[in-house]
Amino acid sequence: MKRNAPEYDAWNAQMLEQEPWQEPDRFSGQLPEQKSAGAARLLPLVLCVLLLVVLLAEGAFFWLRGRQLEWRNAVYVPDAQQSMQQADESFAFGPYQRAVKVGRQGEALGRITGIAQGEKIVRASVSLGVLNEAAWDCDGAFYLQCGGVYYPSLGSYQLEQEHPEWAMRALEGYELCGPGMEEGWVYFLVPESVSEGALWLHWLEKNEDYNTESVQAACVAVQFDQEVTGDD
Amino acid sequence: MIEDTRKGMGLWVLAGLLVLAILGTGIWGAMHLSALSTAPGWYASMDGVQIEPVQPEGAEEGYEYYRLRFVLTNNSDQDVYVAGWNLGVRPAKGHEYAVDVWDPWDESITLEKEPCVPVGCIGDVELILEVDPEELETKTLQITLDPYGETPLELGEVELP
Repeated sequence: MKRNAPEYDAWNAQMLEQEPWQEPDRFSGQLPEQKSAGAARLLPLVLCVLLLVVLLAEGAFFWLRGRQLEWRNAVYVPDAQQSMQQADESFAFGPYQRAVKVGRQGEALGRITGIAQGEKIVRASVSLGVLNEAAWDCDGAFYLQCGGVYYPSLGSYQLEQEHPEWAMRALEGYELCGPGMEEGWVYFLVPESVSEGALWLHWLEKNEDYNTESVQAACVAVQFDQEVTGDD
Repeated sequence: MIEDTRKGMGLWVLAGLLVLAILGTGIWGAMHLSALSTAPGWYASMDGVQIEPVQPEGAEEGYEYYRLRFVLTNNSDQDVYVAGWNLGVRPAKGHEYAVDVWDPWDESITLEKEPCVPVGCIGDVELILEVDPEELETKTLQITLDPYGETPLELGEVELP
């Protein structure tokens, strides 16, 4: 007993340091595991916080960049500057005053395979005078207005599947801005009831971002009461 | 011990979900910005809206059909095509697809008529609407300029007769 006296004293000292209402720490042996569990939770918690910050930053970036692009894209184009011109007479068109002539008598080419019932192809003849060099700050377009409805012209790639011979002489809108002389037909797919219309030539002025800023348009009345069959 | 493990697992699952959310937001954001970088800004307005019931050839049973007409002013950077992929109509509330722009599919047609309202012009728009009356919860329809993948522009509303 005497031999154990130092241990007994030490135990007593520990009990005296402890407050009387405190239970003895019977689980002190698990403390390292608790610490380990806390550390195990800390890593995913920190990761979650970091990922949340990344998600919020990403969302903010896309929102701000989207607003910026929407603002940049919002180009208001004023009403087209329109002029009425006579068919079969040459007139100056666009900022480069290109000489243009449109034939009064267009042609109705009737139905072809690949189009819906009640529709037909018509074409109008157009001659474009010489333009010494291509105008890079513009794009062009042809439309046929019937009543209040506009029909865009058919491109050669649309025609070549069924009628490659038409595609070869089809004029496209961009050729209004191209150099050299051009002569050909502009094709439209319209309702079968159409026998006349207004051929519109549009010159679209572009800014440095290639957005359309303004439109100059010329209109010529064309008839399509003459039906043509054959390849040309 | 068991409780501690579960708490840790929950955080790992949350972290995984956050990673998925980051990836999803990244993909959506890239697609959104890509669409915006090529899309024009739209300036268009609608006037003189009229709607009347019709019975077009090829109409399906169980649906109601209406002819919608209006005048569109286009001050946007691009032409507005008079078609379902460019102009959208949906009910103000209820199922989005209760109303659709009717465009019967015909595989023999390779060359389609594409009326449009050119840049800087005022043009007539006529659309046939296919309405599912069972899915419709309101008579008010919203008309939008809704090019695929781009931010829609609301043009106005019309009441079904």
